[in-house]
Amino acid sequence: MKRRTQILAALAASMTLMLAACGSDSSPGDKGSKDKKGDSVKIGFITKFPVDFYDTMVDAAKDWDSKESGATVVYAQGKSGTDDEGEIAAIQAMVTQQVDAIVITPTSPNVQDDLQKAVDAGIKVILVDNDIPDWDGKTSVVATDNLAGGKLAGKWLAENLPEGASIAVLQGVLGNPSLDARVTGMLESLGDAAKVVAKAPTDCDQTKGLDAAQDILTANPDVDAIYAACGPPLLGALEAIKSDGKEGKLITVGFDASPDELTAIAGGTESGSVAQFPAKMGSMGLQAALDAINGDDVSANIDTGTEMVTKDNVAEFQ
Amino acid sequence: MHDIQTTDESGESNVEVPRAEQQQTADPGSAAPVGPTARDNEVSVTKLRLVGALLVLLKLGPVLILLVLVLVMSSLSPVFATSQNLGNVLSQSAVIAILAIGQLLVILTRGIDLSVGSTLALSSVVGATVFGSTGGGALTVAAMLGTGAAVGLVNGVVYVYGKLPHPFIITLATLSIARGLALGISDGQPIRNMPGIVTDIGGGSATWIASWLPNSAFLVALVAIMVSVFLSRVVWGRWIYAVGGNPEGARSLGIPRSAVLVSVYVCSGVLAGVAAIVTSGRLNAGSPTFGDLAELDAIAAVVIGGASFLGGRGFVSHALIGALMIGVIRNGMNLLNIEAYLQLIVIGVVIVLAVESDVVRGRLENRFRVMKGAAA
Repeated sequence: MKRRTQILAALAASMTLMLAACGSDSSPGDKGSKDKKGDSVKIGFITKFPVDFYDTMVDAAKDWDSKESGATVVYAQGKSGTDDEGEIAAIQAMVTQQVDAIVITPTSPNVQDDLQKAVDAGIKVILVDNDIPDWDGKTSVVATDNLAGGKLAGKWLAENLPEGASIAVLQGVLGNPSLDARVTGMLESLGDAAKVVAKAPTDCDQTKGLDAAQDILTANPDVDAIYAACGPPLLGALEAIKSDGKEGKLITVGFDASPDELTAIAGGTESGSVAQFPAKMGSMGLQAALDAINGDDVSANIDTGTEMVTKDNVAEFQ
Repeated sequence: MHDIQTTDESGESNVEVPRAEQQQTADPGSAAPVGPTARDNEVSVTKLRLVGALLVLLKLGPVLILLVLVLVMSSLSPVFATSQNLGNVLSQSAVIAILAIGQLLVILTRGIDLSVGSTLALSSVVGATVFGSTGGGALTVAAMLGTGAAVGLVNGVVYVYGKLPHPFIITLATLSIARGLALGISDGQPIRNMPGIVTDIGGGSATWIASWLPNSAFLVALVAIMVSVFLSRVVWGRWIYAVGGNPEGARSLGIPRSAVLVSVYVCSGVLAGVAAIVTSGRLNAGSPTFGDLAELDAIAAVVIGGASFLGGRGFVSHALIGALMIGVIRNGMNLLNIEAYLQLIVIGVVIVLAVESDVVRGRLENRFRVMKGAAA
């Protein structure tokens, strides 16, 4: 119930933003002049869509907001992981609201132009969770170092796979730099420890992960391991492995350590997953924004860390 | 029944007119400037045969494309033609096939249903929620089908009685609403566990025949047979063709257009519920992200399969062939480890090829009648 209220709150917030965007330049609650030292410092917090990962981030942001008296946070959210239009509308609404900084989990580099417009209007932009590598306008990127996360998975796989093993890779959304980095990083530290026999894109979709895994298991019945760049396709792959009668016999590593993945790891059907720390992204992202507004030095890259979750330490994450 | 027959395949009734005219001008006794000689007749008979043969080829177009696809994939991948992989193709195209059959009914009436992917998601989430709180298998299935029917009813009623200019609008609205509801009800999270009946239907296989044969293939067959019989043997089914193929004629015959239209959207919704059972069964979960863009797959399948996008012409077989084509392309490309962008390009090219061959077929069919008339 709690989360549903949050979703409604987020909806209401974005509605308000829309209205504000259409309406006059002074929004209710705005205490007149924009004094950057006072508590009228306003930070926009835009996340992709209402799933657990971003909910955790928003929860942490609200927590930070309630403790930090020097700033007010306004929230907005898109409809899906690829909803560029929704995010662009949210960015525009934030600009109209004259926020001092925007903290955003960008859906893709497509939102870059509108973020640049915000920067041109004197707004600091902090990217959270995903980077837009070729864009210079950002103040800082607060994210999981996905390349490092991928390397963590690759290292673990190299240590745990038998000699001469073969592995299949379920990619995420092609063209999404942070998802691609999870694969690149894994392959880098996996090195020659295993042969990659198949690579399939899944759009981080559970059904597509199941379909791809079915096909991969058919074409390569001897495959020893499956690595997925996100959680949902790995969960789909687990179903394919199960109906192939090989439950628990393959080494399976995902990325996200979502609640369902943690259950699977605890139950022994999934070998491991790379955990990220979305709560840190929320609070550290906002802190970086406040520091930037106040003119303090902000590091260009703030790593929120990754950790390999396996059966041994899964209890700490559940 | 006989009055319905006149509207049967009414898309073709338009071509009766040129045929009659041509017969008159071609009549040797008429005042036509150049009467056909015996030699001309011979030529036209040969031509007639040629065009006739071409027509048969084009009518079989989608089937031929499917065959070519299968042959190409089999020659490129040693595992493509194995029974296990056939099972994969069947289970992977089951959802598209079921949605496409529903979409066919709507397209036959010159409509479109954009909401089916979201309806699938909502239905799966409602099903998982009902199962989570009651534990009843039959109740879960009823809830899933009921959710689909409800969305379909809203689509049909608002379109017809709200006098909307095109069903695109209301189904675009419910696409958004149903997805929103699914996200809201589920808190944006997948809900694990579905009843045995759902996982058996969606994820189980017919071990009593062959372990590779997915149960979902039987479900598709059952749905296909039921809808086929409905379309060809039931008066209401013939009315669906009439409403799409010849709206004016349908009106003058006193066919209850509004009720027929509402019924096809309800059917499409119910079938989205059936598709939700398959998806949820395969993944043993309900999720607000299921069926993303599935409506486009369903529409593509119907059109690739050979049904007319302008209504009034199309069979269940078209939807099935189209769904299999999409399934074979995706499966084959995965087996061959081909980059994803190529999959998208290939499917797009197949859509254009299939529809263009349908356009050419329509033209030739016209010509064929004209020539047949001339030769007679």
